[in-house]
Amino acid sequence: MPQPSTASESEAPHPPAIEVTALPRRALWGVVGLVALTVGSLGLAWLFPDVTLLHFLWVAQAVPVLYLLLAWWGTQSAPVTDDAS
Amino acid sequence: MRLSTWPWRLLLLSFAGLLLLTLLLLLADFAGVPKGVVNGFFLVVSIIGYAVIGMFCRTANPDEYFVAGRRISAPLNGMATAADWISAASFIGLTGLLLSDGFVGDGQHPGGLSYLLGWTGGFCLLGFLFAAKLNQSQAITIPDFLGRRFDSAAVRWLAAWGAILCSSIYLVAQIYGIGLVASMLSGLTFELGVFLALGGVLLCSFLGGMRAVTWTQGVQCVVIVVSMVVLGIAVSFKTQGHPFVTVAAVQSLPEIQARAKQIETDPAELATRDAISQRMSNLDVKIAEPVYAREVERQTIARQVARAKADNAPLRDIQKLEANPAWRETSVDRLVGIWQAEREVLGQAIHRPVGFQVPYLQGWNPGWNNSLALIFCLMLGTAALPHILVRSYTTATPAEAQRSVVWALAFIVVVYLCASSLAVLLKSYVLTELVGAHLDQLPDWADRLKLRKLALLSIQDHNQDGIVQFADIRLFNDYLVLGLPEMTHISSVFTGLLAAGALAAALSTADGLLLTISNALAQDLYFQTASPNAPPLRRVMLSKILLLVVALLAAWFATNRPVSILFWVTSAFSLAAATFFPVLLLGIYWRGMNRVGALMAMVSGLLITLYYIAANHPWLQIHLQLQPSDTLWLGLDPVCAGVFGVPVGLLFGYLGSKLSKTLKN
Repeated sequence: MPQPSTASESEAPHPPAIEVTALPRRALWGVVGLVALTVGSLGLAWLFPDVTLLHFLWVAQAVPVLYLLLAWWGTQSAPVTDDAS
Repeated sequence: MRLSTWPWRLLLLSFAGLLLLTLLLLLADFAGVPKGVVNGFFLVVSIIGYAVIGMFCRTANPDEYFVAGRRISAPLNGMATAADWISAASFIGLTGLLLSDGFVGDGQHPGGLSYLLGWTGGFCLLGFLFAAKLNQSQAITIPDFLGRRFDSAAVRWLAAWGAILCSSIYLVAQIYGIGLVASMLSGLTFELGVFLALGGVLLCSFLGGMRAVTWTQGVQCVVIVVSMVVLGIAVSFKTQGHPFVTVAAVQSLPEIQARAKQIETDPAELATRDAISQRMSNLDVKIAEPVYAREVERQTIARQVARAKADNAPLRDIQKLEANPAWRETSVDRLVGIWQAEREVLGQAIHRPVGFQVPYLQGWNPGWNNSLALIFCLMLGTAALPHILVRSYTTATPAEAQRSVVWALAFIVVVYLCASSLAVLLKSYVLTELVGAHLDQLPDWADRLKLRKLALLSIQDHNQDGIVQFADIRLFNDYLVLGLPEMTHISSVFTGLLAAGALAAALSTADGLLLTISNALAQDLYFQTASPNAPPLRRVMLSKILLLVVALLAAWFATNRPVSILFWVTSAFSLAAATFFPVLLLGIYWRGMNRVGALMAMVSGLLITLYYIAANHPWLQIHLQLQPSDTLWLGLDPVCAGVFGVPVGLLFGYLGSKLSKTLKN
């Protein structure tokens, strides 16, 4: 367990400036992938509105897992340096 | 991946402790210990456990209190983010929502899949766009980040009010959920349940701020995931004889589809729907001429009461007649409200799908517009909710912040995979055991769910044939999943375990929201304007006092029982998306964005969203005598208001920045 700590003047006296940068390429492709996967999956479900098994297995079960893989892939390259602080 | 040892000891200990507690209570249940005692044990142990962690993590160090020392590892921060994000509504509500609204909707409203995709997809946006940048800024709150980015106190002030608004709406819904679960577990009244559980929240967030909240949320994440997974395994074993809930759901689907087709063409079901449609038409006539309708109905009731008294009818029958709202309600406005609510419930009874979709749903329809709009709002809202965004500040590096988002999504996905499978298994019980049963020979679970203090089911025999049709059934979706153990005849210990998970979901979200609101009030509003050079200890103390005040206010609001948790939670997503997403996106990735653009983006997005939600609220529509067709844009539901707010915010942010630059030049 962490030990209770006491007050200290630990507020950062000079917080780093907030840099404006371009959207990293991988993040951009990630957003494109997210839109394509979402619209494509829903489109597929709407194209076959009576196929419940498809809705359940693909949209309710597989797509969230694919989102997870997409999030993992899209955040692999750190867009900013780790030693910011 | 760097994992320090003791945090994982704590989490493993909580995991083992929860399993051990469940096993012990299972034994107690088999030994005949009363159900109330078993369930109450979960409540007491949970709240004491969270409070103890809060006390061990108490701090007055500002860096620890506001951002947990910025040294939380990615997996633990992910667990805390997942617990912070999984609210009572999404934990206990998603299964019922999928069960009731189906997967693809009824052709008018969004289906349950929209919630599933919107709530999970938003974490991709958070990881891709904001997490690393927010961590790199070393800010304390989201308004602090925006204020520094645009070097503007006005931007910070406005962002603080935006954060308070979004978080307050969400907080009241969470505390309402806490009250429901706590009263169900303990047998206390709703109001006492609210204040009892609130004690646990306050002990944690008041004493230890973000540090205590992080550790508590880590343990709460374990409780949330374990409770849902264990319930999925138990129900799967009971229904199909194996522990794989997804496979059990797939095995049940063909039977559900066959039964749904049978019900949809059953003459008794069609007669019930006709009777409901007739009742709705009568209500329309009454709502159009309420004063006249009330007089006619009162005269009819007076005659019926007089006849019943003359016939020496039982007092219960007379009281039933007098319970008619037209007899007892003095205000015409309230009476119209009651009739409209009844009409809405009846409409849901005939429009909701029997299986997981309405039959013959072909071609583009308004429901699909609503589905896309809702997914848009939920995704952008998830990526812009202030209490989720602040979790990016608590890791050591930007890369860790991004990785923690992936961890959070992993835990959330596990919960939702189980929730959607459980919806399928629940549907199977409703269609095969309840529909077609005689009213005097209902399945035992149906009687229990009807008679509970927190009713999960009601049945009204609309066509008076003494048999339950699908349209006769009303399921209370917001918390129906709590009745799953009774429906599947597994031990009531699982109800307690699930309720402990729901309580953890509501408490963890309430913790995060309370901190966000109190920090916005103290750091961004008070100290920024009145006392910018205040010492750190004073800042922490004022934040703690405000946290207490906000918690009590939210509890007071929650005891007034807001009508729909899901409506208010979804509205909060729309408000967060419209207020923060445009300004964060443009502020982080466009150099041309300036303070005028930031102010215009936030104000325009927030106002348009608030207007759309308010203008389409039933209360306002009754008082201004508006019809939904007068106020709906493109037929979109009010919870999708962010679909208008976000583009307007982006446009005004761009135009404001460009115009102010041109005028300056």
